[in-house]
Amino acid sequence: MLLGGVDDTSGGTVSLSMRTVGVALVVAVGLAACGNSSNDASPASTAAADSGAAAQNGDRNEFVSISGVPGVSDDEIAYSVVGTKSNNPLGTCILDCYAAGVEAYFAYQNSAGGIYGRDLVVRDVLDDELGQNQVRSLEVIAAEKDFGVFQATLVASGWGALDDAGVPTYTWGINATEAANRTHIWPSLPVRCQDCTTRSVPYAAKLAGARHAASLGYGVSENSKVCAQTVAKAIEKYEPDTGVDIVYTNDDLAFGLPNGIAPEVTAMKKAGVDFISTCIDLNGMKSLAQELSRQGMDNVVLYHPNSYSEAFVAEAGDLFEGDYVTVQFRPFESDPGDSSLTEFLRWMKKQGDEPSELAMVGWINATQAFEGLLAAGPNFDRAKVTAATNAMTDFDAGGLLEPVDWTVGHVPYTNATRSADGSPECTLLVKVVNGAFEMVAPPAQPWLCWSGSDLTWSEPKPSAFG
Amino acid sequence: MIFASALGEDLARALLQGMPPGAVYALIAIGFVLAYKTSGVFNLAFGAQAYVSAALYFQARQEWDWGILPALLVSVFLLAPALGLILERLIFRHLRTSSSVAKLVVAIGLTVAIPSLFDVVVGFSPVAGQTPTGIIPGGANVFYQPFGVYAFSRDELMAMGLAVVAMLGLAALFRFSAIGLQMRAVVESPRMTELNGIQADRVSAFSWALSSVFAGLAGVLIAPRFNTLAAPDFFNLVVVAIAAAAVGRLMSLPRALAGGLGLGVFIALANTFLPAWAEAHPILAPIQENVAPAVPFLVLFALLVLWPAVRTTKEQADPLSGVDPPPPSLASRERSSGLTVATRVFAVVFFLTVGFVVFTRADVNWLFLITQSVILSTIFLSITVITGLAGQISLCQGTFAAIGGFTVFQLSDRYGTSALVAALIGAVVASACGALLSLPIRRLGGVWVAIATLAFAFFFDAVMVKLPWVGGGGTSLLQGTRVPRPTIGPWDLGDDKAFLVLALVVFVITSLAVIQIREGTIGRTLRALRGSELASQSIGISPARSRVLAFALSGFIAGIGGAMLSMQQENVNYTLNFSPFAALFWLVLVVSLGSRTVEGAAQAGAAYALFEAIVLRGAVFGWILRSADRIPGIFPISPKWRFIIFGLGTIQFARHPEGLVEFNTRRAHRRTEALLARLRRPGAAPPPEPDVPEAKEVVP
Repeated sequence: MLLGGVDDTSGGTVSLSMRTVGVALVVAVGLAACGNSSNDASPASTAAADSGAAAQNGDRNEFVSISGVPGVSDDEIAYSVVGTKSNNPLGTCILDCYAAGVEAYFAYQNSAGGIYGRDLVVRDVLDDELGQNQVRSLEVIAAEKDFGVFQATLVASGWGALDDAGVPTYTWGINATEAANRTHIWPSLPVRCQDCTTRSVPYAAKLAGARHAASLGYGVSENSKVCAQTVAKAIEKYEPDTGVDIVYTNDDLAFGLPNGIAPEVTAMKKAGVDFISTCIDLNGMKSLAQELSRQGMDNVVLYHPNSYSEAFVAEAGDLFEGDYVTVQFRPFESDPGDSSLTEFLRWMKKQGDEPSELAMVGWINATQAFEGLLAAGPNFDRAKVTAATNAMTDFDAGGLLEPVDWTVGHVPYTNATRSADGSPECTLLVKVVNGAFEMVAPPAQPWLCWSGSDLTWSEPKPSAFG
Repeated sequence: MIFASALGEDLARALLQGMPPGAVYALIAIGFVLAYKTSGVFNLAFGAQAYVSAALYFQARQEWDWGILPALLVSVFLLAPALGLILERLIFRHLRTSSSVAKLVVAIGLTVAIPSLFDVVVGFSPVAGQTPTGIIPGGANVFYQPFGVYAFSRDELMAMGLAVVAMLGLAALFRFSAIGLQMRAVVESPRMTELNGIQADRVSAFSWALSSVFAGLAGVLIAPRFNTLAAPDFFNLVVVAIAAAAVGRLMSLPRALAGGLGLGVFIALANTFLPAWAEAHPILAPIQENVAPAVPFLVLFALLVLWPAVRTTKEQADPLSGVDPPPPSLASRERSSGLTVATRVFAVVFFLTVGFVVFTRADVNWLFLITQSVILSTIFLSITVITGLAGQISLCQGTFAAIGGFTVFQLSDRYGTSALVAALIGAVVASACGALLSLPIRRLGGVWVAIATLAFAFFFDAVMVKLPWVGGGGTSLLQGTRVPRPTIGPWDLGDDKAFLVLALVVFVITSLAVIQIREGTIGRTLRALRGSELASQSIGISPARSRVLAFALSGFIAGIGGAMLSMQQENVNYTLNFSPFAALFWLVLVVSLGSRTVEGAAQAGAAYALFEAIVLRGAVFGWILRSADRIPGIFPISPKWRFIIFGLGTIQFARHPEGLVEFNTRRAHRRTEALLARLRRPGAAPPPEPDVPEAKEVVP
C-alpha cells in the first residue's frame, strides 16, 4: 500500500482530515525529493548483518534474568504498536498492515528461539484515530508494560513524550520534523535534509527523455512548498547535464485539489511540459493524471513520491502508464538476493497477510528493534538498547535499506549547511509498465547511487546493500 | 493580434474551466437557498446531509456492487428524504419560532454528528484509489469538447445541467405552484398558515424532504470530484457555497446559480492569469500565493461586510428577530442559602479529593488529559464571553487560540523569549486580532457574525498558517512548531504536575475575571445588547464598542488558552488543535453544556479531554472493577460516538439555551429543595414547579 501516504486534521478531532494528512505527506515527499542520511561506506562494502544470524554482543540465546525493565519478563519482551486506523482520510491500510509486518518479523525471530531466551511479542495494537497519537503514546508510557513502541502514524504528536520518557520508538519514516533531534526515535528512513538538491528527480526526467519539467506541491505548509521548490532547484542545477529545464513550478496548490487542477495543467501544456515531479499524495496524483488526460497530455511522465501500491496503480487503469515511482526500501520487484526480502515475503505468507508497503515498514522497524537488542547484549535495558542502536553506523535492515548511520542520523541539516562527507546519494525507482511495477535499475542491484563527495552530475551506479 | 488571440483563448478556457467547480458550488448554493427559504434554517448541516448520500451511494456501488439506479434510489430518494423528515420531525419542527442563532447552533451540532453517525452505522470508511463514481457510466473518463477549447467530462456536464435544471425547476416551484407559496408561508408563520387551512406540519415536512433530496443529489453529483470521501471536505464546500448563496441574499435561486458559477470562474481566472502576471510583476507574487487560495473566504467576508443587502434579508424582517427574551437567572442565584452553603462545601470536598487523587495517583497519561481539560476549559471561557454573555456565535475561537500558540512558538524560537511572557504577548495579539475583526462585522447580527468569523477562520487556515512569520520558518522546516515549557525562577514547569498547577492558576484567574465581567458593567451591557440592540442604543449603549470589547476579551482568553495548550503539548499542533472544523466542535460542546457559566466551560473542557478515555475506552469500568484488565470486551467504543453524542446534544440548545449543565443544576436544586422541605415539614406539599425557562412557540 501507500508508503508516503498522508494527512488534518480529526479521532481527537473530526477536523484533522486532509490538512493533517497533507503535513505528513510533505514529509513523505521529502523522502523522495531529498535523499536520506547514509553512512560513509561505498554501497558494496556495507555490512550485511543477517538479522537472524548472530548477536554482535554475545549469544542471542543467552538468558540473563532482568528485573525492573518495563515490558521485559523472563518469557517475553513486549512492544505496543500505535498507528492510524480510524479517521484516515486517505483510505490506505496503515495500522493493520504495519502491525502485520511487525508481527511477521517477530514470528520469524521467535521461530529461531527469540532473543535472550525470550519471545518478542506485540502486547497491544492501539488506534490513534488520527488525532490521539499523544494520548496513545502517553498510555504506553504510563502502562510501563512495553519495552518499546512501534508507530505508524500520520500525526506524530506523541513522539516528543516518548523521547522524553526514553522509550525506544521505531517509526514509519514520515513526520521527519517530529523525529528530528530525538535520539529514541528511529524512523524506517530518516530524512535529515528536506531542502537538499539531489539527483534522483533530474535523473528520472532524463530517463523519461523529457525536455521541459514541472514541479508541483501543495501550499499546505512550509515543508510542502520547500519540497516543490527543492525539486525545481535540483532540475535547474543539473539542467546543463540532463538537458531538462524547469519551466513550471507551482508550490501553492490547494490540498486535495478541491477546485481541480485544470488551469495549472493548461499552463503546463502551454509551457511544453513533458515531465512532472510532484510533492502530492496519491489521490492528488490521480486527479492530476485525469486532468492531463482530459487536456490531451497522456504522454506526460509523472514522478510519484507516494504511489508504490500496485492496487492503486491497477485501479487507475492506464492513467499512470510509463510513470516513475520512488520506493523507500528494496522493491518487491527486485531480486532479493541475500536480503531479508525473501524472509519478509515468506513470513508474511506464513502469517496469512498480504505483503504491502506498510508491512515492509513494520518489518524494517522490527528489524531495527531486534538488532538494537542484539547490540545491547543480554543484560539489556532501554538505555542500553538506545545507546547501542545509536552507535550503529550501517543499519540496512538486512539489505532492505540504504545503510543508515545512527551516530549522526538524528540530526537534520539544510542544503546550506550540507557537507560533502562522502555519503552516497541513492534512490530506488520503479516504472509503471502495463499496470505493474518494473525495476529501473537491474533487479539484483536495485539502488541507483551517486557519489556523495562529488555533487556534480554523473550517471548513477546500480548498487545493492546487505 | 496574436497576443489578443492568445489572451482570448486563455480567457475562454478559464471561463470553461471554472464552470465545473462553479457548478458544484452552485448546486450546493441552490440547495442551501432551498433549505433556507423553506425551513428558515441556516443549514450548515447541508454538507453533512450531502456526505451521507454520497457515501451510501459510493458504498452501494463499489462495496455492495449495486447498479446505478438502485444505489441512486436508496441513497438520494430514500435515505436523503428520510433523514430530512427525521430532522424536521424530531428537531426543527420544535424550533420554528426559535431564534436563527439557536437553529444555527443545532445545525452545527448536526454537522458534527450526522457523518459520524452514518460512518458508525454503515461502517463506512474511505478506500484509497477507489474514486467515487457518478450517476452515468464512464462519467469521469468520457469527454466532450463543445467549444473546442476545453473538454468536459460526462459527470461535469451532468452536474452543470442539473444545476441549471434545478434552479429553473425550483424557481418555478416557488413562483407558480401553491405548495411553493405554502412552503414559504410556513416559514414566515406556521400558525397563520394553519388559519388558512393549510397543514403547516405537512408542508414543513415536505420542505425538508425536498431540500434533503437536493442535498443528497448534490452530494452524489459532486462526489466524483473527490478521490476519497471525507465529511470535512463537504463542510468546506458548504462554506464556499455560502459565498455563492450570499450573492442571492440566501433567497434568490438564479443568483445562487450565478454566484456559484461566478465563483468557479473567478478562481479559474485567478489561477490562469495571476501566475503569469506575478512572474512579470513580482509585486503581485504575494497576492498570487496568498490571496488566490482564499478567494472564496475573502469573497464571503467582503459580501457580508460591504453589502448591506445581504444582512437585511429575512432575519430582520421579523420584528422580533432582534429581540431575545432575557436569559433566566443562574441556578446558583435561585437556590436557598442553605443549599448554597451545602453546594460549596460539597464542591470544596470534591475538588480537594479529586486534586489529591490526581496529584498523588495519576500517571502521565491522566495528568496530560486532566491538564488538557483544564486548559481547554480556559479556552472555552472565551466562548462563554462571546456567546454566553454577548450572544454572538463566533466560529473563529480556534484561530484566536492558534494565534496565542504561534506567538509563543515564534517568540521563543526567534528571540528566546520566556514562554510565559510570550503567552501573554500572544494573548494580547489575539485580543487585538479579535478587536480588529469585530470592526468590520460590528453591524452584522445573528448568523452573519457566525459566518463572517467562519470565513476569517478559513482565511487564517488557508493563508496565514503557512506564512513563515506565523506557522513556518526555518525552525518549523527542521523540527516543526515545537514550543518550550516555561520556568519561573527555580520552578520548572517541564514537570507535568507543576504545569497542571500553572494551568489551574490560569483557569481560576480567568474564571474569576469572567465572573467579574459577567456581574459587572460589561456583562450587563452585553446582556442588554443581547436582549435588544435598539433598546440598548436608546439608553446610550454603543453596540459597536461593546462588540469590539467582547471580541477583544474573548480573543485574549482564547489566546492565553491556546498558548497554554501549545506549551502543554510542547508543540503548536495547529491542525490537531485549532483548525476551523476542530473549533466547530468546541462550540458544540460549550453551548450544549452551558455557555453562560464557568461550570459549563469547565464541563465542556472535561468532556472534550476526558469523555473518550473515561467512557468510550471503558476506564470507568476499570475503576469500578479495580483492574484495567477487567474492562469489558466491547471497549473501546468508536471515538466517533463523542461527536455523535455531543453533536446531538446541541438539539437541547433551543429548549435550554442555558445548557444542559445549568438546566440539570436547576432541576437538581429544585428537587433538593423539595426534599429538604419535606424533611423539615413532613406532610407539607412540595413547592410548585418553578417557571423553568424554555423556548416556547410564540403566537404571532
